Amino acid sequence: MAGYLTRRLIQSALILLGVSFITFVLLFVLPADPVRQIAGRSATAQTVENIRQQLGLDQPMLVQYWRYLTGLLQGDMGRSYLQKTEVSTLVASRLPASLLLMAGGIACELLIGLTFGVVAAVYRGRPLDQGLMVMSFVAVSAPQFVVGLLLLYVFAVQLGWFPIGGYGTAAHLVLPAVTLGIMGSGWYSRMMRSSMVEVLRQDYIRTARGQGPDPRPHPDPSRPTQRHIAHHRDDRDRHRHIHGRHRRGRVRLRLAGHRAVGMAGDPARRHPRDHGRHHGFSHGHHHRQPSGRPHYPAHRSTHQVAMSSVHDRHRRFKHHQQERNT
Amino acid sequence: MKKLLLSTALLAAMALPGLAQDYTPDPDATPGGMITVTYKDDVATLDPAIGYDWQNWSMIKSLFDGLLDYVPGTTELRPGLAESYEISENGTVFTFTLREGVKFHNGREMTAEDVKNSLDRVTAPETQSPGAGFFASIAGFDAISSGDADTLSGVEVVDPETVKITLSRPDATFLHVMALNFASIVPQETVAEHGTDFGKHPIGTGAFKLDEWTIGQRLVFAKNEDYWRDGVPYLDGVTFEVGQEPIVALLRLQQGEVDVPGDGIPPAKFQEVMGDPDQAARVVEGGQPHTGYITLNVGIEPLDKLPVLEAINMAINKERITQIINGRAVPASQPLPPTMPGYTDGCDGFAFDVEAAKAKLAEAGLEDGFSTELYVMNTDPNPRIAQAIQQDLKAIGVAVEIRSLAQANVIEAGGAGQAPMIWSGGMAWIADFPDPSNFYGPILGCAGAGEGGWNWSKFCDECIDAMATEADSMTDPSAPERLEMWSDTYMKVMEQAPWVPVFNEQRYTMKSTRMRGDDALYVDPVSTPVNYDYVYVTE
Repeated sequence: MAGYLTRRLIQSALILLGVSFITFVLLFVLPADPVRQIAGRSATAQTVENIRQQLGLDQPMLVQYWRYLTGLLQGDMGRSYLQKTEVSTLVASRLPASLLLMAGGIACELLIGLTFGVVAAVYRGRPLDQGLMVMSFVAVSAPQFVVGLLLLYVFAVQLGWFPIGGYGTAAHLVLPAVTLGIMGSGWYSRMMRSSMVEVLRQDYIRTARGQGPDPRPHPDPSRPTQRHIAHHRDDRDRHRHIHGRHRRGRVRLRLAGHRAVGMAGDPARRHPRDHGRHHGFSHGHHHRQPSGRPHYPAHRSTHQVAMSSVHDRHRRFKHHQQERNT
Repeated sequence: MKKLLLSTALLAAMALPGLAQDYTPDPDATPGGMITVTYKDDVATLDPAIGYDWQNWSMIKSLFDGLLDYVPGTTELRPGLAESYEISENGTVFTFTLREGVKFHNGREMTAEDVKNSLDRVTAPETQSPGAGFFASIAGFDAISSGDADTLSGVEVVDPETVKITLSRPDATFLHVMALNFASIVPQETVAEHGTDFGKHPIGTGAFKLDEWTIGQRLVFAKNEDYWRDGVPYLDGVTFEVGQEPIVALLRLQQGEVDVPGDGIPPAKFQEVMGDPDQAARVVEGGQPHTGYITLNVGIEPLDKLPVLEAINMAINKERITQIINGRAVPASQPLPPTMPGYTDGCDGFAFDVEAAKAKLAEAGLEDGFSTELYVMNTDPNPRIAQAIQQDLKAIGVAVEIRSLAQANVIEAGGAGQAPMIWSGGMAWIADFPDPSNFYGPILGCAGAGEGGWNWSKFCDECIDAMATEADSMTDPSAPERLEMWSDTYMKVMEQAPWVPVFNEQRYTMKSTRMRGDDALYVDPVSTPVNYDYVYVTE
């Protein structure tokens, strides 16, 4: 481990060295003379030469690079030609604000992105999902200055909730952080949605649902547990089953009165969305409650797998909905 | 003011008592109130020897004073820290009598020693002042600039209230130079204390003092209660907020949070603002000593032929180019802008005439045209202006390839003489001081034509240079005969057409409804954007 760390540290130091060298060389490749820029347009040739000599810009490039490196290692970043100030002062003075904005931006990114992603995945294919995904697409594509100005216009100019510019209070942070958050959230929401959809499609989830777990929490310990046996169904139907939802062309199988099956000793079963998330539910196999363990005393109705006609399915679906609504 | 700067003979050996400030302060002005000014970029430095951009120029003017100053809103000189001065008969010795009882912000009284130290400091090579060259006419400048001396031999402290400055040659612009920010008087002890960081801890004698500076966020100027000019400034202070996009600044101004957007009205919003009578009423328009031009490098074929230069001058549709920038400029006929003394009235320059231009090309034996390159800075609207120029020249058969580069790279190519044509936008000349000579030496004279100089046409005519030198040898900068000579000089330059003068940009300063004071203070030719010392607010 120590060897690995040392190796990686040396590698990154070398990369930094390479980057600094390339950046330094670029300054020499560009046809612009920093001395003339410092000296300004009214400078005499003598002034230009004086400045060049004082800054050591008349030295060979490698000498200059060496001086830059040794300075940098001692924490001396030099003085800015443009701002006429120590570079370290300039960096230090802006760092707190940048870090604060970064933290705010990431927080908003995660908050907006993950929420949208989860909601979209759960309501996959419905207008809410489509709306959110269009929004995330727009958020990813919209340039920052458009989003920023739009937010400014609505929330600062029209509504006057936040200051239009400046720095210092929490109110100043909100709009910039939300702007960054919206930009980044597009990524997160899409990623979150697709991973979540992926997981929701996993056989073990479907199996769990096939076994009857309700996505909603339904603690009702007073009812006796009835186990639902999935092995009546053939694989094909099991895979296609859409639980609790009636969608054209996809409904093959209706579960009547399905309810979560208690997974003995499995804390995950209490998860509101995901009762069946358990390693014991591997796909394609028959599932049984491990015998000898106490059944989780949870749910009320009997479970029954009904292979039925479309008509019957509709009827049962309605019945089921009614039952759920009670 | 004309009285002050009479002819050399009258001035000679005659003290000028009672150099009354012939600026009548606004009788309605009320003291009090803070204003907020915004900028996109942070302020680099407030060191008067270093600061050389239009953003810190007026800030430094409000923090510091020089021996001379300008009447607010005009280009006329008036006394500053020097109560009066005498000029010797040959025009090379200036004796300044300092005002008594002027105190620096640190409470110490200003003396003649400070004047000498300040001038030594700005010319010393270690200071790296971009303005050092302006002082070249002071005796001993070469010695200090090359490091052979550490003080200017031409600046002499006679007594604590008197400074004698000897020039190595007569220089009409010297009084203007003494009014430049670079000639501000700074206290030696504070400079010694802070060294290169004096620009972050400025101490001067000006109307305001620096109260707070949070890098990257804001600067706060507070009123100098002990200011030596009575009654001013009116404002209790000025807050400069930096890091604000011009468009955000405009929104904040419309909400009443900002009083002056320092970067002006963003081009995209210009027509909207000017189209709204309410907002347009709060915009002050004024000229500025600026000319936008195309340089034609006379060292590169076929631009070395006069008819070709004339043809290009005739081919450019200046009206259309001003339309590209929403009419925020007036077409130019000559290098000098109309706000500058010495401007030649009634000169129409080259008229836009495609047929005549083609005839000129034929005269040079280039009926079929030629191809060349146009260098341009890569920020809007410059590339669009370059395209307009390209189209105009295509109409006379000249194929132009546009080279759109970063500012520093265009300046480098121009200085090295590699660029056949350069559109000056974004790098155009704005006068340092309101004197016609400032538009000649560095950008049209032989001095600027060398390697690295700003004379990108590489135009050098010894006869015209001699005329310029003669005009500058007069002592009185505003003598009519001197201005006449400058006028002739620029007309002679245009006969050889090394430039296409395209337009003179106008300045538009927008202000909040509560800001008061003469309009001229908001387009002050010397203090951009606003002369903070004289404006006031109603609450």
